[in-house]
Amino acid sequence: MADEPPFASDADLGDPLRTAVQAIRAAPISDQVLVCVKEHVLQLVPQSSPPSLSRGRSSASLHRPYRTQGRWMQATGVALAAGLLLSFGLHSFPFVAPQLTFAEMRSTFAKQEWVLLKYEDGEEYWVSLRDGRRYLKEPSGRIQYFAPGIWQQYLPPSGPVDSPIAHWPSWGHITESRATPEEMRRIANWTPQSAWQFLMGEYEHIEKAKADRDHPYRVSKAVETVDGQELVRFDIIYTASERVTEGVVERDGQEIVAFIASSDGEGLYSQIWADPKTQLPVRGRKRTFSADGRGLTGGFVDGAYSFPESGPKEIYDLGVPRNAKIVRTYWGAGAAEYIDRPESDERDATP
Amino acid sequence: MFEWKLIVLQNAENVFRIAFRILGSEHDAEDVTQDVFFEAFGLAEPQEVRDWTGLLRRMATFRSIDCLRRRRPTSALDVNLPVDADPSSEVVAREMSERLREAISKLSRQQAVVFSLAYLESVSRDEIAESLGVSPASVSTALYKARKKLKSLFFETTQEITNG
Repeated sequence: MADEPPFASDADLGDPLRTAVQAIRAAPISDQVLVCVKEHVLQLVPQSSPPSLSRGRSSASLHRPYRTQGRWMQATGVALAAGLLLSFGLHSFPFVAPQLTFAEMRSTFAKQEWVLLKYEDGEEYWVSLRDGRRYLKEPSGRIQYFAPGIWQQYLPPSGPVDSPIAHWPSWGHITESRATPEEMRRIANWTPQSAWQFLMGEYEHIEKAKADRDHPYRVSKAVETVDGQELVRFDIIYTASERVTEGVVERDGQEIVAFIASSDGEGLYSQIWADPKTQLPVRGRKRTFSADGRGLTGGFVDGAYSFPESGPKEIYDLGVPRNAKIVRTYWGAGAAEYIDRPESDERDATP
Repeated sequence: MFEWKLIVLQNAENVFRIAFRILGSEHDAEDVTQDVFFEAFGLAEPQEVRDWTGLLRRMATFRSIDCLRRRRPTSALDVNLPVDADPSSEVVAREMSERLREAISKLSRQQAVVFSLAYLESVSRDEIAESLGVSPASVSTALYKARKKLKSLFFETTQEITNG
């Protein structure tokens, strides 16, 4: 707090600005919330402490000295009191509303072995949070396996004719590629770099884009009761889905062709419901894409999360016929090479 | 003795209060508080920091202002008001708080930070100047401009509330 009287006087504000400032300053915060916040932040404290503060006193400091010995003693007393409050108060006062932040969910999520996300349309994602292996089973019967440097996919003999890879010559086979990240981007619009990103990629993008205020997304949080269970819901909302159109405008008495940016307004992009007790997601909802993958449809699809201790060992575990051959397609130096391999080679294809 | 836990115990409450005043939402304030401490825990040489209260206050203010500037006016907010307050004044106070936050979000980043530190946290001019690495005169100028702009923005948007 300031060492001298505040130089900003409320009298300089005038009404109604002064009233608003005073209203903000007067808004109370419950002790329970403050205790809860401290407890949460304490859980984030790194295990290893940095060296003593005294080491840095003779070198260049980032900020001027602040605490005198008396203040240190006072602060220590405050800390001890707060510690006692944490020890006893948490048990005495149950929290009114569930508390969970996205950071906590992310941290707990990363400690799991496997995550399984089953959408109601039949899509099934298996992701190993240890080594990044991923399996995707689609309603069409296509089954894919991703690992660093390996992409396998199985297309059932009667594949859908509207598939973007309908020309693929190996229905009923497992095709395997070893693509570079750049080449993978040609396959998918967005290539996740980790198991977490595979499931939570949009959120990661938003976290990283926080510094950019023009980013057209925001995340909001709410508490919601679902089937009698209080859950924390994280929403991703696109706020300015801008499009650019060509039009004619009048300027200085002349009609000129201009590119006009306009906004499609706000809309919900996806949601995650998390259990504040386990700090893990339990439900997910995402927008569905059009068949060509280029635009959002008006629909959503819901999914359920679970966290099994083990997952598939190979693509066959998800229903690919055991006699399906591996067809390797290597994208080296821009050239695709097709090599038929006997079934006995399948072991080599599994990392 | 340097201890992260002690720094948390000494400052978490204040960081949360700063974020809550600027954002008016416990959920957002909680996220900002965590972001601030995550950032602090990641500092390369934390032992060099000699004024944790000042540093965390500055980080909390900047992160909260950034969050406020990204927020759209339609965001859900959960301002707590005294239960024994006059209902009509509660509504006015709540509305005016939100209008002020919206107006602050329209200031430049530096003006918003200076205004928040000066008026919401009662930080002295010299401390703000040192915290931001600018001269005290620059702080005064930024605050003058912030007040002027806020008065203009705020006067327009609050007429409907105060009049009726």
